[in-house]
Amino acid sequence: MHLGRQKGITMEKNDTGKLALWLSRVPPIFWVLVVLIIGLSVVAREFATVSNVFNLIVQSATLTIMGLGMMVVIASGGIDLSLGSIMTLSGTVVAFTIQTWNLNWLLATVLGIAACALWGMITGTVIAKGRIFPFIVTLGMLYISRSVVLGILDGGTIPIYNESFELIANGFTFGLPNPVYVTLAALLLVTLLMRRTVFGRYVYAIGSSDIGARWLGINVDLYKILIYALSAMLAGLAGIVLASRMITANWIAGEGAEFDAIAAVVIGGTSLAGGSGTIMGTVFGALIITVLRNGLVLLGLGNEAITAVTGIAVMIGVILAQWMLRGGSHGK
Amino acid sequence: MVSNDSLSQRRVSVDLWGFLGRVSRLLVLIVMGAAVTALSPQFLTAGNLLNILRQASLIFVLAAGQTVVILAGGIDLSMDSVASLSGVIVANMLEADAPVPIAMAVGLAIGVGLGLFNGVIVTRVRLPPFVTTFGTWLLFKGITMWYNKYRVIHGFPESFRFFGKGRVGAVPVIILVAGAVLIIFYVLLRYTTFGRKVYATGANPEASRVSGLHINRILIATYAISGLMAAVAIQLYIGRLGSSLSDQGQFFAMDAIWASLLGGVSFVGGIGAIDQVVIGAIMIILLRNALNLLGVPPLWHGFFTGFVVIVAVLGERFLAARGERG
Repeated sequence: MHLGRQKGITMEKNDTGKLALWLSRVPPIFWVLVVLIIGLSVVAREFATVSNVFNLIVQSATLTIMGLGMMVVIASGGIDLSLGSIMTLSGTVVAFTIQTWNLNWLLATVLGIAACALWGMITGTVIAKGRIFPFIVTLGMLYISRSVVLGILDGGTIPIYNESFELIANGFTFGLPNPVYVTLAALLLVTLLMRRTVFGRYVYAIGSSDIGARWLGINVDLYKILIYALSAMLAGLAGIVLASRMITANWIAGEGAEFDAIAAVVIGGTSLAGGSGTIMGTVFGALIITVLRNGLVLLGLGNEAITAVTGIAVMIGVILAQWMLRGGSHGK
Repeated sequence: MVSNDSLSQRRVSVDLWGFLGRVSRLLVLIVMGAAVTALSPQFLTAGNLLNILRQASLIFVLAAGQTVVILAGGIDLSMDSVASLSGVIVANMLEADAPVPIAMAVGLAIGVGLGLFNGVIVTRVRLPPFVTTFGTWLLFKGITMWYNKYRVIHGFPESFRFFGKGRVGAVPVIILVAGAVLIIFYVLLRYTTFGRKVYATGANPEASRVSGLHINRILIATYAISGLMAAVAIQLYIGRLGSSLSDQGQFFAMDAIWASLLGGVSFVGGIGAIDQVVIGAIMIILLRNALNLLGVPPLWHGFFTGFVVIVAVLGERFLAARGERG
């Protein structure tokens, strides 16, 4: 009977069936983004201009890259509050090595990202081996890494004098800003890892049930270490883009960025309970936050309204996601 | 005969680990105190000890509210913004020459109201506590900035500042307030049905619900208590400083969470005791004091704070595991 129904659809309305299937796979949050963009284009004149769109892309790059890492952590049932300060760490390492050791910019960038990945491995090891709540460990690591950054910068900022490094965020390739390609690279990496390797399966398995995953013979500790290393590495990459955009390493740059990333993930429909998490949802979540902020600024609203609206958006995002989930399960 | 011997031996070792687990926090505090005393002879003076207790009092008042929420299985990240919003409203009322008791009462009521708002969203809309209080943290912060802008208010009446900076004899009033909070929370959590319900809800919400507890009401009450304590703390804080501005109390939620953690309150819910949280609050201040005495630059304070908390929680896990295994 089930087969017959499917056959009927494929025979009679092949195209509409496919379209409906495709539409049902689009995260609901995408439509919110579309409505938001259309609405802002109508209300704010400067919104739909080429320069503003490029501006938006560059602004959303750091949040998207970091959000992807945060999504993987949250899907595994954890949380990483230290990502904001890790993001600052990579820029700091780059600035420090270029300024004091006169290091090649590419080498400095790789070193910056590697330092972040190592940092994430330490976090992951403490969480996995010590069996402590990720919230506690990463909160501690937030303070520790912020201190390390402050120590390296000696409480101030270090300017980055390197034209090649500046191009990472400020250059254009084939008519598009470079951060687009960095974001796409991060997106590709996370998509491949989550969809095409056992790593992705294990992340969801660990997030659904830590003990269950252990019973299945998954080396949970090892994968947790890898998960936190991946998220820290992506945060480091985001930090590179940010440092390149600002041409300085500034200790306050990443302050609170982890909360923006959590907001992006949560608005994208990922449950903080773990075991689920969508890549595209996170990307749209990051875009919504960036577009919303940009739009509110263009509308002439102040910092206070933007803060309050972000708070409301986070809550509404989760309500929407939960509502969709409940509707879906009732439908079946 | 032999088995009996080994059994009794085992029991002794169980008791040893269990005992260590119970008094470990106090031991660590004493060791920390001894270390700071060795660093600086001025440490062990009555004046300095009172000073440390005074600083720890503010953190304890906050941690008491946070502890009740964590015990019931939640978390309250919005304490900073609840405190700053209720604080700026009190400050604005005082500036407009409102009677001090009324301004203070309104401030406390606002704290309770914002806490209730958190609680209603957690229970009725069923948002996870982390998301809810993160969202309201931003929301209340925005409202505070919109309401107060960048204004700095000072010149509060002395009767208002009495609670924050006054003294009864040699003892700062804030210590007496913290003492009262300790007694009230100790009795509330240990000797009232509400306290038992909070523990039960945190330990197993589903079982509590099935047993006929109105867990929604209990959860809402815990957030209201947390909001109230944030409001109490900000009045003590601006009373001591003598001025109020929009971004006051930014460290409130974090300090409260640190103190609860160091006090052995488990994030699982249902595990922890308020008298231990006192030790947690004092530990934070002792640590800062020690770092200052050692001449560690403020830049590196966060490093040691984070490190100590992680090591403390690791140590606790170790002791707990030993106790269970025995």
